[in-house]
Amino acid sequence: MLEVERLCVAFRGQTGPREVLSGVSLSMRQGEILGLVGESGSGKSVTALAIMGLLGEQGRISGGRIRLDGRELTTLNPSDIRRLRGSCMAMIFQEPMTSLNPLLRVGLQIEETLHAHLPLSRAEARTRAIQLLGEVGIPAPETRVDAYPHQFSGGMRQRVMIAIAMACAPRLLIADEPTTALDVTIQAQILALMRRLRAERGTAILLITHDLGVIAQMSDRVAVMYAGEIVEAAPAGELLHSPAHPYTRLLLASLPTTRRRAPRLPVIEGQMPGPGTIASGCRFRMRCPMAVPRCTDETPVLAPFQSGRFVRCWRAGDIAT
Amino acid sequence: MRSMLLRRVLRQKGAVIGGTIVLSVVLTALLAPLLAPHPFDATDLLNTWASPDDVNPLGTDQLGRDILSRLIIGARVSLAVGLSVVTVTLVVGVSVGMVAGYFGGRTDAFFMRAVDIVLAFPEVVLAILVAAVLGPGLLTVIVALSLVWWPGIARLARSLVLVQKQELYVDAAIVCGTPAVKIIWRHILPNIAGALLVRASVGVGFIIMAEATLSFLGLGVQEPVPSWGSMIRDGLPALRTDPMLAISASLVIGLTIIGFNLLGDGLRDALDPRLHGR
Repeated sequence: MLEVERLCVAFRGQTGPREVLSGVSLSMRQGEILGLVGESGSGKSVTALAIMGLLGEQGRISGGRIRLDGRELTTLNPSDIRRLRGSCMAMIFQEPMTSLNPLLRVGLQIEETLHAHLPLSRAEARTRAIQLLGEVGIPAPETRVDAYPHQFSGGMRQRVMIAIAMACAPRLLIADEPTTALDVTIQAQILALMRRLRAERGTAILLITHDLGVIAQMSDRVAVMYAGEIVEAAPAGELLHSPAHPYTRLLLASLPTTRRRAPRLPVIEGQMPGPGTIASGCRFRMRCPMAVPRCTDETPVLAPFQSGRFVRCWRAGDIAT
Repeated sequence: MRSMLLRRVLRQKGAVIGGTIVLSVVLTALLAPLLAPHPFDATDLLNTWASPDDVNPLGTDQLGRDILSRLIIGARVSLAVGLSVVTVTLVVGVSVGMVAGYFGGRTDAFFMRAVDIVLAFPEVVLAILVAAVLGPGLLTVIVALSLVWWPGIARLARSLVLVQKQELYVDAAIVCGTPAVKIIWRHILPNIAGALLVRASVGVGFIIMAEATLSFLGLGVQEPVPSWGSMIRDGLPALRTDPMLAISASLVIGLTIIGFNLLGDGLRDALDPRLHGR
């Protein structure tokens, strides 16, 4: 349904374009939840923005293709892509506290999305807005439809954001850290809501997060990003139980658990290299405990590994055994 | 909804005081010929610079004309200039500023360079240019001041839009496929209206003052029609000996400005739903 092929994105820098995404490939089926994990600056959000066509003036798609239901998005003109936003693909953000316009009643904000894509009368749009608020679990939607955003709590606002995103029943929902700003119980409720909507409507969800716990609960498949590349992609259970890429392994090892008795959490030494600083070789080799000379000389490719898995590492076979 | 707004405005002391002042100035301007105790252009050369008495409550000016009557008639000119210039500059300035700020890039560069060019001319020079084309008079003042004032409003609107554009709700509206015009009109404008309103209300005061400058140069309304600005100008040379003329006109201008400012502040607060719980 969604196919991203060798997507490259470059941002304008002081010394010339800096490539922040280098050949990212993803594919999603209808109703699938794909988790996209990685540390800050690894390119998760840029991938989402590129799909939505929201890179702005500084960013540019410098290569690759994005196809949604067979339609090529990278060559669409701005007004066509605007028509797709909200109707075929929608997005929710990390900060529910600021993603609603403080001066407009929430009902109007839902109705606005409806009006932008569907030929509805005002009364119909309002009825639909009330219905949507009910569907995302807001109590007394008939009265809350006329409330202002500041009269909602964070979790309720994220529900409203989901109602807006789902208003026109998009095929793809991109959720950029949808629960990071919420406390744990509310987080569980919002995740349950997203799972329910997926089950009821078959919406595919691209879930961007750095919370592996969320990934474990939600995703069918996971893609791990590092320095603008996907380093590993696998079904969620397999990836969490037997990670193949050294980065994924270290990432999982650095999670706190209640079982392990360790005085300190293991950390991954060093920092992620900035965009454009590594010309060739593996981008993780400086921090990788298993690096060999080949990692410097030859750039690894995202290669099939076992069934349905892909890893960008020369030593994946050695690690697994 | 409208009546709610009115109730919120009425709940604020400052807005009520400001509104009362503005309303009385407007009524005075509208009913001026009925309210003025004397004809504004009746000279009495034997009774110049008279002190306040029963006949002339605020005294007379250098030609023996009744100051109170001239203040009342002068409200018409000052208010007409102030309100029309503010309206024109808001419409032009806000449109230009918001479009420039929202779309950025070349659109922004084009409009902002136009703003820079206008700002490069001192307002008096522009006014003289306009007067050379149109001839002196009320229209000249309005056109000249509008030309001078819209760039400031445009810059303010642009910078306010740039701030709002960083807000996530704008991104959220974009990802819902909301058309740009609607985002500017329905989302951003209400969020910057408060600041623009305050600026506009302060602007009325400054514009009334600027009208005085142009009248001083003889580019504004012509004698014998009075404006508050020209009355201050006439009163200044006699400030030490007969201060009533300059002081009373200054006080009226000051009071009007305070009235507009209080009303602007009150409106801004009343328009912000965050300040009102349910």
